Parts: sequence; C-alpha cells; structure tokens
Amino acid sequence: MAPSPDVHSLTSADLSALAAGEFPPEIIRRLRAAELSKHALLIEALRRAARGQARDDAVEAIEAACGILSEVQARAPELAAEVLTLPHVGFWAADCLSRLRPGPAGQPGSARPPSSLDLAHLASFAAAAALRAAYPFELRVPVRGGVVTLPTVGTACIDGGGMPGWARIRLDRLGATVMSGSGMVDLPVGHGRGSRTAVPGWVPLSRLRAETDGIALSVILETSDPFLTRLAPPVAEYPRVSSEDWQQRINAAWRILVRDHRPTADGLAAALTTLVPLREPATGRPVSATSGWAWGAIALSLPPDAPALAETLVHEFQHLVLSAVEDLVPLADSGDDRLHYAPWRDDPRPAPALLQGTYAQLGVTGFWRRQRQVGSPEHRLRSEVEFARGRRHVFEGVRTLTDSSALTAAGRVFIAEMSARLADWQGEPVPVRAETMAAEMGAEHRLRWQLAHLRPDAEEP
Amino acid sequence: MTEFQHDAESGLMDVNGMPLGDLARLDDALLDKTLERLLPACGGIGDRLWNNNAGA
Repeated sequence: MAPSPDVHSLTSADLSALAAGEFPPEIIRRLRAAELSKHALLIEALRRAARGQARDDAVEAIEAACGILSEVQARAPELAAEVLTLPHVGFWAADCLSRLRPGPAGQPGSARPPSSLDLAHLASFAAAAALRAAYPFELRVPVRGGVVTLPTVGTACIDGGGMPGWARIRLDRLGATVMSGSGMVDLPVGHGRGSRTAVPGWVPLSRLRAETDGIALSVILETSDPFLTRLAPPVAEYPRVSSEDWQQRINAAWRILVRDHRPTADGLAAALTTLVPLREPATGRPVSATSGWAWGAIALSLPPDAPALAETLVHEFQHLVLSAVEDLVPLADSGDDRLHYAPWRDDPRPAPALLQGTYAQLGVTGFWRRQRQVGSPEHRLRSEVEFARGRRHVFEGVRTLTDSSALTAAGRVFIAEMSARLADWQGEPVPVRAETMAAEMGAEHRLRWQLAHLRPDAEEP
Repeated sequence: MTEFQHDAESGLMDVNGMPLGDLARLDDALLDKTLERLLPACGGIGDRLWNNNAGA
C-alpha cells in the first residue's frame, strides 16, 4: 500500500482573494491542479467499482484506456493533464460512479446503472490524448448515433446504422483510422497532419478564440460529447449552431471583460475550456448553467448582446470558482437542511446553494458596477438598475448566511471578505429612478415568494 | 495565516504527478473516504448543478 498523498488546501489569504473578486493565476492554477486530482481519483474509483459490477467488455475497455493514458502521461505529461482536466472527464466519471454506487444505507441506487459503452467513454479520452501525442495505440471505443467522439479532436461518423456499438481506433506508422463493421474513417490527425483537414466522415472540433490586448480566451464549442451535452439540455445541434455567430459575440464580450473587468478575464482565460451551446429558449430569456462536476465548462444559450454574454461568463465563472473551492474546503454545512430566502430565486435554498448564488450575484453586481462607468450611454440605466438590484441581493444573501450558523470557519472568512467588498459599494450613489426600480422589483419578488412558501401555521423555511 | 482543507482522511488527495496506473496502489478505505465526501451515496450529478434558468 502506498503512503497517503498530501491533501490539496487553501489558505485564508487565498479564500479572501477569491471572495474579493481577485483571481490570481497562481490560485487558479492550484484549483485546476486540484480538479485534475479529483478527476484521477474518480477514474480510479470507477475502475475499482467497474471490476465488481460491470461486464467484462467495460472492464477491459477501462483497463486498456488507463494503460494508454499512463503511457501518454509518461511521454507528454502536460497534454495528458490537459485532457484529464477536461470538464468532460469529471462529468462523465461522476455520472457513471454515482450510478454504480449504492444508495442510502447501502440500498441499491435508484438510477439506471451505466452501460458498458458509458463506462468505456474513458477509451475516447485515451484515444484523443494518444492521437494528439502521436503515440501509437489501438483501442476499442464506443459508437453512439453512428459517431465516435474524440474529445478535443473531433468526431468520426462511422454510421453502422446508428446503433450503439463498438469501433476500433488505431494509430500506427500508416496513420490513424476508426473502423466499425464495414465502415472506416481515416483520421486527419497525428504525424503532423492538421485535424481540420477536410476528409469524408470527419468533423473537426469547433473551437472559439478571442484575443484582446494580448489576453486570449480559447474554448471548445462542444456539441457532441455524449455526457457533457447533458449538462443543461437541450443542446444546440450541428449545423444549427453557427460558430460564426458565437465567435462574433465572444469577440465583443471578451473585449469588454479584458478592458474593464481584467481580474475576471484573467481568471476565465486560465479556467474556462469549454462552452456547451444551448438552444435559445422559447421565453427569449437566455439560459446558462455550470456544474461542480464539469469544472471549466459553461453551458449557455447565445445571449442577445455582448454585455449580456460578458455578464453570463462572469456569473458562471463565479460558480466554477466556488465549486472548485468547495472541493478543497467546506464553506457551509451540507448537512444543514434549513431553507432560506434567496431574492433571485423562486424556491427556498439550503445554505450551500445560497452561498453559491450569493457569490455569483456578487460577481455580477461588480460587473454592472463597472459597466455604469464604461458602458455605452444607452445601457447606462440598465447598468444602474442591475447594480442597485445586485447589491440588495448580495446584502440579503450575506446577512442570511452570517445569521444562519451554517458556515464553517473557512466559510466565515469567505463571507467576511464578501461583506467587506459589499460595504464599499453600499454608499455609492445610484440615480433615484434606478434605485426605485430595484426596490420595487425586490419587494414584488419577496411578496410573491412569501405567498408561495409561507404558511401562517408553519415555521419560516 | 490559517490553512484550510478537509481533514486528512477525507481531503482531496494530491495525486498530480502520479500515473493513473499507480493509483491502483491507493488504500481502498482512503479512496472511499474521499469519495463519500465528494459524491454522497444519495447524490448524483444534479446535486451540484447551478442553472440560472431557475435563478442559480
């Protein structure tokens, strides 16, 4: 048995910096390293669980994939780390593992167990890493909907009648191929060949890149990964996703973030790897989501303008940061089942979720605070109202959490710094019209919430 | 300056630099303890979803 490894940690100074809206690259790098550890541990736990519960074909696929990934780790450690840190890996591993693990009190879980093809998705990551490292290999990989998905590389359309099944992927001195039954696709990857070369049956990865003042954001536009696209369905589908529309909107939003919100832009550049484009909702109101299991990914519909996209990235980045922090350090007692009012939600929230929401609101409020000074004149009232609303939200969230006794010692450090940041904003003047609108919206929401959730004979949730 | 982490048994182990193949040597109980905290038995991936369609 190996000695116990060290444990990832954060200092009070780290927590204070993050709570204050500073995202030093060194801290983001450590959060990223912790996510890599988490993914490696999830894979190992899944490997052990599969040995006892999965079919032989899944166990063999996982073992073979681990072997190839270990070889790539030895030859190209940075590339292997990049692939293993992908949000795709965490979301897939947590999904499969949660469905393999027993339910409460050792009872069988209620979720459908993962299939062999689900478990073998690890082989897709291994194949992608080996292809990019030009490391010769051969693996069996899952086929779903007629395609083999190779994260960070592209998808091979192998057909096979669209039925789920297996394909064999190989890289040797002759090149890379995927074969399944009578179908075969030559992959334009490896040995110096560009992955964007047009070949039949191959859809290269779609990537967005924006650069302003030397600060670059480079992200995958993910529409095909069978797990990550479940982050917040419905995902927009090829070819309905116009990557040009996304590229133009990202260019403009990134300019706003780099020029006027630099700490967040620096953090996003270091942490964000993947966007999952969602279909535009019928309501017209943009939607977005993140998951603590998919660090580095944001799912979102295309917001109507650049400030709205910038705001969404700020909002979701705050969730990503706090999710990574909570993987290392507990900030609120997850066993505390008391529910609280959150001014931005229609449902009562437990303390850990209220903290997540309050932190996201803090980031967004800071965004609009700055936009009041630098945004275009036609957006000025919107910025003032959003700032006025946001600081009311954060004030309420911080006060509720402080009074709740649900915070840990680290959580108290975190909330104290959030509170100090808010205190600086509370005295800033806002036009009467904006403050009045914010107050009216707040009062209307609270009244609706009370009508929905408070009962005269019940304790306050 | 205070250093915060989960306790040594359930904290997130730093396995960076270890090949995936070497993780087979990790103690079962230690790995289970970490997972119990990360992935409670009753929870699935929906537990940590922040969806602003519902207000986040």
